Amino acid sequence: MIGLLDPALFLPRPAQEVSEDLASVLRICKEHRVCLATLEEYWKDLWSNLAQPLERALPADAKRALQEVRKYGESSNRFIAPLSHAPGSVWRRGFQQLFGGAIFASSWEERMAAAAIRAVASGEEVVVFTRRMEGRNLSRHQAGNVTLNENTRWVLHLQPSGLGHRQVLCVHHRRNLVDRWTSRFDYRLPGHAPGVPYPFCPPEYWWKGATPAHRTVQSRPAWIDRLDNGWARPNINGGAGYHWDVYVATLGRQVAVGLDQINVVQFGAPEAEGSPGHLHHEPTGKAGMVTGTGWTC
Amino acid sequence: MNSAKAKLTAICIERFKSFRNPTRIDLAPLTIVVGRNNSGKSSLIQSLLILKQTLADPRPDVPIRLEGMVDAFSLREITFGRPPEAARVEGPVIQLEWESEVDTAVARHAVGNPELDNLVKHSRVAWLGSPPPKRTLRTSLKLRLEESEGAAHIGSIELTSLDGDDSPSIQIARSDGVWKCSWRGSAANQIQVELDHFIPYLQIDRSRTAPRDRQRAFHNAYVFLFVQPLEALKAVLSDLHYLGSFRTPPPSLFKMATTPPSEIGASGDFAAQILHRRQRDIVHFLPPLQVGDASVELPNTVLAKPLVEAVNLTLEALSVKAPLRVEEIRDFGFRLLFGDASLVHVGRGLSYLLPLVELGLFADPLQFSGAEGSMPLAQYVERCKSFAHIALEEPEAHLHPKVASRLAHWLVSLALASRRLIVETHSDHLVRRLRGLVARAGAGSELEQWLLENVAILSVEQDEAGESRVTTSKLTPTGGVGESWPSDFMDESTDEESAIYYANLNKQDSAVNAPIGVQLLDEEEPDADQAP
Repeated sequence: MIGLLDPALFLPRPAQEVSEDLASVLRICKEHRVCLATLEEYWKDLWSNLAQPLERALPADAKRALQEVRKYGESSNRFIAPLSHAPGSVWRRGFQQLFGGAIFASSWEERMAAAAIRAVASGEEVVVFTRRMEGRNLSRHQAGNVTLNENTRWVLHLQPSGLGHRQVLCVHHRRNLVDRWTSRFDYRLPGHAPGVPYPFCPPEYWWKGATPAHRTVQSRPAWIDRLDNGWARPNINGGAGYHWDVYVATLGRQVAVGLDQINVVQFGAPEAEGSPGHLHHEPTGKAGMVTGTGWTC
Repeated sequence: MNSAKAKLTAICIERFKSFRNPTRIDLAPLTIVVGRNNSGKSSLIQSLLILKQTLADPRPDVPIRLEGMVDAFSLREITFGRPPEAARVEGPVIQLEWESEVDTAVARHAVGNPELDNLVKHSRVAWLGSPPPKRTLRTSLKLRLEESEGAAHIGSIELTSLDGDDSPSIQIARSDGVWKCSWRGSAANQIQVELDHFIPYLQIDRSRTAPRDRQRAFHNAYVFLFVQPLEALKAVLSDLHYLGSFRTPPPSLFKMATTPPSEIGASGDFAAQILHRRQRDIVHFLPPLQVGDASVELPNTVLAKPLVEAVNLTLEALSVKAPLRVEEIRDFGFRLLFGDASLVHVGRGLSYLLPLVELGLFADPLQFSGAEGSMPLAQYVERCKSFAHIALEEPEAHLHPKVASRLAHWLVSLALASRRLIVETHSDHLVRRLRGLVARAGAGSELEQWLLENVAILSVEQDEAGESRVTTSKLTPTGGVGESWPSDFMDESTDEESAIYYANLNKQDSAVNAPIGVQLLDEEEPDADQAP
């Protein structure tokens, strides 16, 4: 697998954010054997135009994360054939959204398009490590204390010459390469696995733009799964909490479950909070009503 | 050697060399001191060396000795700002804090089993009412030095027992040419003070004070709280092992020592003689940590080996492969050989490393006792009745980066095995490896915990006014340095790598960046039927 780096990862911002984001990139690369290709279409500019001034401004410990990413990329000896004269095409919308001039001093659209085409033309799977930025690839929906962070760009579309349509996944969290639907949906949603009674069942065609991912349920922004259940963050100040408020969709399932709304442990919750996809707690005044019957995807 | 499990826990200095303001340094089992040249980092060790060399002077009336490992023309020379000559000049303040175990039965016997209620009433030290057989006390000795008529003197001494909330203290100062003391501010004129160098001894004429007399109670409390701790401190300072950054060039042939030396020497002067005389004597040591790419374990077996074998095992663990042996040359002396090469003809690094390794072994609190074998670390620590204190300056001098890194393994092993070390270093390899050890140690593992709690990194910086400051940091579980990242230290090599990288980028031909004709399509994005 080949990884490309979003230039926005290297824009000036608090050192801790830089450090955490780049550490996450490295971790994903190492866990999934992703090679950071040092393609000259974008790599040199990335380091001389963006990373160098950023590195100067960072304190020592954050610098290390940046240096490690560079070292990891440079240590790759993967040969990727250079582009031919008619290398192919990309759909502009995604590239413009992520790499257009809106947040950069000069657009990275063409450089990233060329790098992506070259990487994809190698025949290997390609992902882009993206930074989520509100107004760019992140849209925030809020009602009271309940927020839903919608990823508005989870895939890029390209067509290298002679290969047909290809998709490049936009990765912002380590779970995105395990449960790919989390590149679009919230990575904290519990996935399905044997023994998990209340999983989030991603829509069959979760990656298609035409597939709705969220809507308002009970006045809250909620993710919608294949079973039409609504998954909203708890109404807790500051967006805290380790569970999802799940609005069970159909009467039949509500009867089976015992309630029309249950609280389900999120993915990534501390062990003490319970296992992901299991009941977190029963709503106030409704103790004993949950039957234990869940659903499967 | 002290037998009270005494350990230095803190040094406080003021007006000492480049330290103007009171500066406290808490000492860990492994204290690493870093900082630029001339930042003042050597001063921390020197404050101890002055006291050590003073105690080594055969004349007890020498209050402070300025000749030896720390050499100065006058006290003013080591006083902040080098004040001008005057009839009386305030000099440095050196304060030490230490922990030691007190045998209360010994103290009780020394003062003739006093009435404890009366002792508590006057001393206001509650635990003296029912003293346990053994008690670990924290004690402080504060020395105010001064120069009068061109000579170095003690201006005043403050002894404080730091055990408990209400710390009793004894102030000692000279008045009309006589030392006087007071207990918690109350004058105690019946108590006479004598100094052994800078260590105060208090006496009271018991025939002239009633058993329930207030001053007699003060003196009794002094015996309980301070006599044994002061003896322990004296032993700690006298036995302090110091190895500086210079080495005496080795001769082709060493002369045999008529008696085994008791110290390695500040320049490793006696390392060869100790090795020769003690080559078959047993030393106890924890071999340097064995470290893999991603893991490291806490060693728990202390080996008891003859000195030369122990040196070889340690050198090998530090990646020095040439075995050391002592070759006798009858009626003349002896040679030290690494493989077939004598010490004179091996690299300078080895002649620097040998005294360092030897010192770590020689500082074994159970040195030259017992038989060859091994024992669990916990048992060894239990058997050691004392801690060895070791001060090292630039132990990495002349060492290959790999060996300098592995030195960290050795230092940690020493600190785990009843040695307490202060190490002044410029080696980012050494410090980086310490960080690497904690990063490699399993999350929540015993070794990780030990490293987090027992390694302190002191960063010494000097400002434009020439004043030094110390920031103490601990390691973090991720291999970082907690409170303060020593500036211009560990980043030098990586920053230079970055500089080389960016400079090369700029040298490369930028023409390759001209965009190649990738077509940008404005049409609607396709919805593929296959998941990405």
